[in-house]
Amino acid sequence: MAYYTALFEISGLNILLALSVFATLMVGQFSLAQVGFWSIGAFVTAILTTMHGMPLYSALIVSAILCGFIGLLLGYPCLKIKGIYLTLATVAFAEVVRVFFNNLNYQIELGDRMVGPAGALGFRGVKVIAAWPEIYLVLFVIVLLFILLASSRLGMSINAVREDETAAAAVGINVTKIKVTMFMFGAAIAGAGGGLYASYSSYVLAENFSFHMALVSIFYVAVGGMYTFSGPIVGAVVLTLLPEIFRFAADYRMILYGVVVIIVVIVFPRGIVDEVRYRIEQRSLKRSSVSDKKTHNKNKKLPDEGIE
Amino acid sequence: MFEVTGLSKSFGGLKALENLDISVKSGEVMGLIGPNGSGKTTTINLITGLLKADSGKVQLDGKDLTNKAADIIAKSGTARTFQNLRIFSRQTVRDNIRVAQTTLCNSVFSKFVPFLTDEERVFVSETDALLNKFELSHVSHKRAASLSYGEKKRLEMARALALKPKILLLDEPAAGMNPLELDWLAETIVGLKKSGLAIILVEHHMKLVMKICDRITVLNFGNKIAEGSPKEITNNKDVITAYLGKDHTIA
Amino acid sequence: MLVLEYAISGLLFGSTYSLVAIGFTLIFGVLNRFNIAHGATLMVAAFGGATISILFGGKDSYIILIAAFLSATVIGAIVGLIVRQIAFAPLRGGSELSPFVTSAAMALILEELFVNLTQSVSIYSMEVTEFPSPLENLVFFLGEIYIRGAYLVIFLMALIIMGILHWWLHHTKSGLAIRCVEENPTAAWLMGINGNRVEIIVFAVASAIAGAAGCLISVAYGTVTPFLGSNLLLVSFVVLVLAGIGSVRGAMICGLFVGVIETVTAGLISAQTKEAVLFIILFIVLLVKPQGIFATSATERD
Repeated sequence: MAYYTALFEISGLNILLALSVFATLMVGQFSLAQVGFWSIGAFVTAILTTMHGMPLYSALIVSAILCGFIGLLLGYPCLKIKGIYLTLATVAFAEVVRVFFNNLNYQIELGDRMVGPAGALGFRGVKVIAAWPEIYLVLFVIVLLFILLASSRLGMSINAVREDETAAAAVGINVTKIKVTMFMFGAAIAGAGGGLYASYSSYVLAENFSFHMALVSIFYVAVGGMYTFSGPIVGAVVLTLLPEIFRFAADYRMILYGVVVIIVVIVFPRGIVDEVRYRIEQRSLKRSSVSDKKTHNKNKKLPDEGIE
Repeated sequence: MFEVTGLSKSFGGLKALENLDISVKSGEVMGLIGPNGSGKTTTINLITGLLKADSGKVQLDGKDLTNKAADIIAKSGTARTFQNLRIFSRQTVRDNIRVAQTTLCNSVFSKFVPFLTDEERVFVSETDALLNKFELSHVSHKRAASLSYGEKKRLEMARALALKPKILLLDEPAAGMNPLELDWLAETIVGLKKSGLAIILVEHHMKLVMKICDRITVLNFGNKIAEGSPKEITNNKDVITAYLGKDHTIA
Repeated sequence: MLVLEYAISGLLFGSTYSLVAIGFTLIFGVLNRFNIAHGATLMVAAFGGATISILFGGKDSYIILIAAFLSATVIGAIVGLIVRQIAFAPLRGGSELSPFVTSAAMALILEELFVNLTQSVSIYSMEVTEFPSPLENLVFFLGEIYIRGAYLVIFLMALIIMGILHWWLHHTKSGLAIRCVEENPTAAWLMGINGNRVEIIVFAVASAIAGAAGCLISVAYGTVTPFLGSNLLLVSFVVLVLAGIGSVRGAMICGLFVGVIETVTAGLISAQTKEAVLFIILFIVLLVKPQGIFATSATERD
């Protein structure tokens, strides 16, 4: 039973990571920096709760805001330049964060021992104050925000930016502002997620927040769905469960995992959720264009068969 | 009153546009014609902020729009259509128009929770009006990608108008249209001009240009070689030479 | 002078970083996609070379070393083409994200494969697999400065490879075809250049270079590990952010630069600090010229 609870909790954390990556993807940018923000969130929350007695949610809010702010500093200069440079820059950022926390030594005496990040040894003994209720509460709030985004005018502007920045600017959308805003949003989500992670697993080690983890965070979105927020949720759940399902393969389970990822991405290029939607839509379009041709010409003044 | 003065742009050694002056009054259609490569689209791109001008000024009702960001220019009342059709294919027809309206939102709430505001009701009726005018009501819920070419062109114009612009720049709107559609286009542009919009029409379709333009500016190799009424332009020797080479007359 | 010694060491070794970065940027130039499996390709090839050396007693033979080097290059090309076939070919023309993910997944698979191999196959070892070579103990002295023979050989080999690459890109027809496809694939296609074939050639060459680099690096270290690839990939990212993607010359110079900074910092201060110094420099470059020091507008692609 504890096993399934742990799976549930880890899935929740991975969903948060996936959603943080999705936030920047919504404006057409895939960022590998989220792992860095996750790391910052983890350390900051751990320090605040364990060494300074802050309650969990306050620490999470501080982490989220801090990460959002750093996201602004990072995003603003970088987002003005082309996408590939941003991707490289985000990798560099995550690495800088990793190196920084690997060298961070900040300990205080708590009771009878020293507590705090100890450089490359990490931060042991973080207060465990998060389990599935806390994780899923935060997740609920964030999903609510995504739902709001999807149905708002801001969401439409975001979609426009993702599809065609030039056209978006031509209809009065401040493209840079939207990109930076979503970058900050993604950073804040990762900050909160990292904080929850720290308060759940009690051990924060900068080495874990590596390029490898950044790649996995992208897997979630690419496998689950790149265009709607339900995609990353599905992707994170599937890819959290996959290694467990493959336990029977022992040493080869990660190889199987890799193979499955490749197959899924090739079969579902838009991600499972969005590829399925797309196919359904295509099928209904075919059906309706047949019936359209019948009703259409009755009502129209103008011939609409143009040159495609 | 829209004014361009001394607008110039070079790409490396190539002078794409040299010292262009154009002015358009509200309720006026100014045609912008010239052979391919003469700088027409460059002009539009400079005006709308897609390119940065080397020198010159762009002013709308006295407000300086030179080299401002594209979205600020759009917000100031300059709308355009694109030669290569840049509609938002993944969004619905209705949303294509609504996106453009977003810049007109007065309350922050409209942006986040539109269904709660009064402003939205006004926007909805305006969207419906535009959809009607451009004969897109029957496809308003469909994804823009599934539209026919003609419908897509109309959508782009509708979207541009959703900005409630003071000046509208049309970049070869007649391309690919059949005679019925051309008639509709001419009618629509004249209707827009009568409602007080200033319009710059970049076109190759001479019949359309001569029919609806109040004045025409002719470019060749980045320079303005003529400006005047359609009749004056038809008889202008330099224009004929530019298009057809020497020793030609237009019937 | 100790600093000079470190600097020279770093310069020589940094040439391998240049090679890895160049291979990566070549593929990007033609495909406009990142090949995250580039590092893994290098690793597999390095293991190939090490295997040859181990099996045929490469410790004392230069001939075996050369054989190992050539095998590594060939293996690199083969692995690169396999990666292309699985991770890139089925996804042509799609989003940028997909091949990023599939190549990353391939890298994962290859890494895991070799982690398993080092556990089960006897000639390899879980912690450290040796790459025996006669260069291990070769040492030169330039005045008072101590230079490892292995590093010198690597540097020379890297220069030769870069020289051949430059000649090929700029003085042959196929190289011209590649530069055309890099600049404007549609126009190149319209001119009759077979984009698909160019892709295959570039992938093979870039991966062969990676294989060569992998072999050289492993000879320098004296060991191979399954994580060699991902570590080097990250370093090459640093090189590319500094240089700007798309500039082969930039990748060359920045690779050397990174090598120098690494070695000098590690030598003078500590191994921990070398990463920190590198990333601080990186950050400054990102703030001041985010598209890289050697990026020109010609390297921009829509």
